[in-house]
Amino acid sequence: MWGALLVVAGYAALSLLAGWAYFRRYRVTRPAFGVVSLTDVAIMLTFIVLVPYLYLTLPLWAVAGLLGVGVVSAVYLALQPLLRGRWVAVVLCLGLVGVDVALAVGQGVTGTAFLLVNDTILALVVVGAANLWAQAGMKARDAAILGGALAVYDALATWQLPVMARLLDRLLQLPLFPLFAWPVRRGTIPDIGSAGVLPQLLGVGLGDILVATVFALAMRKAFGRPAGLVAVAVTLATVVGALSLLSSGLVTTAIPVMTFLGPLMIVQYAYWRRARHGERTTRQYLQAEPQPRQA
Amino acid sequence: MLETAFANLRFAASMLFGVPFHERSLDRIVDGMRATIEELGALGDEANALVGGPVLDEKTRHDIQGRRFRSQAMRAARETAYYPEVLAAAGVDPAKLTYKDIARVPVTAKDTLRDNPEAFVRRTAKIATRVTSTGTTGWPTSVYFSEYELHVIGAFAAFAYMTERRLDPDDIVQIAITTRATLGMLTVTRGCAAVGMAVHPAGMLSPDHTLRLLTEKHHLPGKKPKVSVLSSYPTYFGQLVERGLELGYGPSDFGLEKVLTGGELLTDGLRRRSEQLFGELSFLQNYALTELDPMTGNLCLDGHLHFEPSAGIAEVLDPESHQPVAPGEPGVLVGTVLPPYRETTILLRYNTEDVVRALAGPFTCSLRNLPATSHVLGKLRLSARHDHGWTFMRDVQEALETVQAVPLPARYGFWAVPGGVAVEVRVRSATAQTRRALEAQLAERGVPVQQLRLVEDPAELDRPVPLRCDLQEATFDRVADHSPAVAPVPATAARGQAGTGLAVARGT
Repeated sequence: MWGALLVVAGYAALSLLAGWAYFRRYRVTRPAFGVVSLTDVAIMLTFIVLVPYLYLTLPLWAVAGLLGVGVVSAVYLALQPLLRGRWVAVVLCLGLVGVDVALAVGQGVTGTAFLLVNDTILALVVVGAANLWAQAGMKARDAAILGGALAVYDALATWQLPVMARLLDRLLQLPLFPLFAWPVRRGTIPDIGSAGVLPQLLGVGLGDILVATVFALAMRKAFGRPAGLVAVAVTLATVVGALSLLSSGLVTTAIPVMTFLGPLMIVQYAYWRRARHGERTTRQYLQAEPQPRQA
Repeated sequence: MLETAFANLRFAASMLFGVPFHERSLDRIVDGMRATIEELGALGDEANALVGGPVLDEKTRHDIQGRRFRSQAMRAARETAYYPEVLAAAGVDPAKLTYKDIARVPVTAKDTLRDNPEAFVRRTAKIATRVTSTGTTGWPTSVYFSEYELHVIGAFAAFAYMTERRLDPDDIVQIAITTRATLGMLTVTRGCAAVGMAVHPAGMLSPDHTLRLLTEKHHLPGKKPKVSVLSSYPTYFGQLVERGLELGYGPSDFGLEKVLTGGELLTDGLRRRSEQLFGELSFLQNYALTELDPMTGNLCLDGHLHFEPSAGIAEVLDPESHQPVAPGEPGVLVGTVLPPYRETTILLRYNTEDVVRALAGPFTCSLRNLPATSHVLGKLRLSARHDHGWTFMRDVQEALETVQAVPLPARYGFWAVPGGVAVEVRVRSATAQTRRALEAQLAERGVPVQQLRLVEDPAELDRPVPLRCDLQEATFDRVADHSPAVAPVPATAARGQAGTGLAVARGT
């Protein structure tokens, strides 16, 4: 049980730190112009609210298709600057997804080999997507607003509405499911959903880690290394705390992680904004802290 | 970013299919570009291709231009007073036009537009503004524009300023062109505003006044301390150089770095001589004509004038036969603005009467993917055809402005005489030495001078070439008595260099 906690928390930490290292070292392919703005945050929130209903409505093959397109795009985005040649990135990306699907079909979605591959793919998704947002100039203010809004949404969707439990129920039947997860002995983990496989898994949502990573990178850019590291530490402490509560049996319902992380993001932003008298643009950040190597 | 991406898709659809631009999308792209520059410091490498249109091979370019020309010709035949008869007389069915058939469409003469501009306006057009040319070669030509077209012109000016990134947000820009040049003012102000520069549309005031403004010290947050970019006509810029040196100004009095110029010929002589007053400057030149806006020509570093094929078709035709000229040969620039850029005043194959040389590709410059001509050689009506061929304004003006004895801008005239041309020019002092220097320079540029007349008073010129610097605007102020924030004596002169400073200024 505690082993599962270590693996899941380890993947959350890996995603955050890999995203951090990538942010300093590599440039994702971003649009020639356009920066992530508050309007984009509003559009993202609309999607976050609507997509669960879409996933619950569409046939399973269509949901799998949408998940596949999203994952392949984000992984490709992350791998492309690391590898020489676009085709290498495409082949590796499709290879990873192929292995994930094959293991899910052959072994089931609670098998450790499948989960190892799936969690690794999700970590790459976090690295690619978080860096796209952060490198496209997302402000720390907007990341904090996104976190704050998700705090409210996550509480409602997890505690008040059946949507999150039904969504997990559905997605956990598919490969590439968006949950950093690791198996625990059946019955030892509280039932945080109605899915057949869920009681066998301890997990934290991809979306939670993605938003937390974006926030850490935006804080790093806006206020410097200490602010970014504090954001990483706060995220990890919150995730480990939530997983511990579930693992120890102290909490027997699903925990909406963003409900706790969101307010902490707003507090951090407010503190650093006051301490630093405003946030830096990407241009100012790169002037003050040039990248060690342009990739 | 998502908003900009959607706007970009709508923009791409217009570029691809020729459907009208979505104006809010244009604004979003401008905003997105500006936000990107502010946040990231620069646009991505593909920005130019995104807003400038894709790189097209010749066949695809001809296909697209043929389709757009056909739709413009159909509108012209259906909705203007001028074209139905003209096209019918030429036996042209607009609905069946292909790229190859464009040559069958009669060239539209400048005088025809000048005499009856409203015959070219579409019946369904939403007319907003009448814009006139400066009238260098006669009565000003009128062109009507809709709000949509002005919006598109402004947006494309903003795109150009931001993608080329030749100006910076901390620049202070002074526009010293005639304030009646509506499109010139619009493009520079909109372009500069998009980049975030501070713009002063000062107009074309007396050189003394403008020089004062250029030396004025500013304390604007995030901006340079003095005007760093000047937008002006070459002849007015020449006037500033002449007057500035006369008043004893020097490079240390100014903060000027760049000059945006067009509408006239900028000579190497003027560029070199301006260094005495302003120090080293970079000159950004383009070709724009009221009648063809927003189809503009961009000058590359190799001196070619490149035209964006999605905006219009540029042809170089023999002035008399209206047939395409061979590479290297001079001809008149004939242009057609294509949809979705032009919707009010429809001009098919408009004869600009500006002379250029046709060029043979392929090019190796930075704009090698765009069709190009040579830089403008001058106005056809002001060129001279003689026994040895042609002499153009550029040939003469380049020679004259090299010679220090010719005050800037060169005031001159030339015309054909048996065996070559007669040239008259205003000089500081009509000495034999000046004559020899001018003869040498003109000969070096292949001008077959048969008569050379030197005058010291420009009023004595018989056939002076009209200069835009003479469109100066009046002001109430007497320069030396006002503008307390500005030191009346140029700092350079105050340090004991040549110049009469205050006394001369008061005398104006």
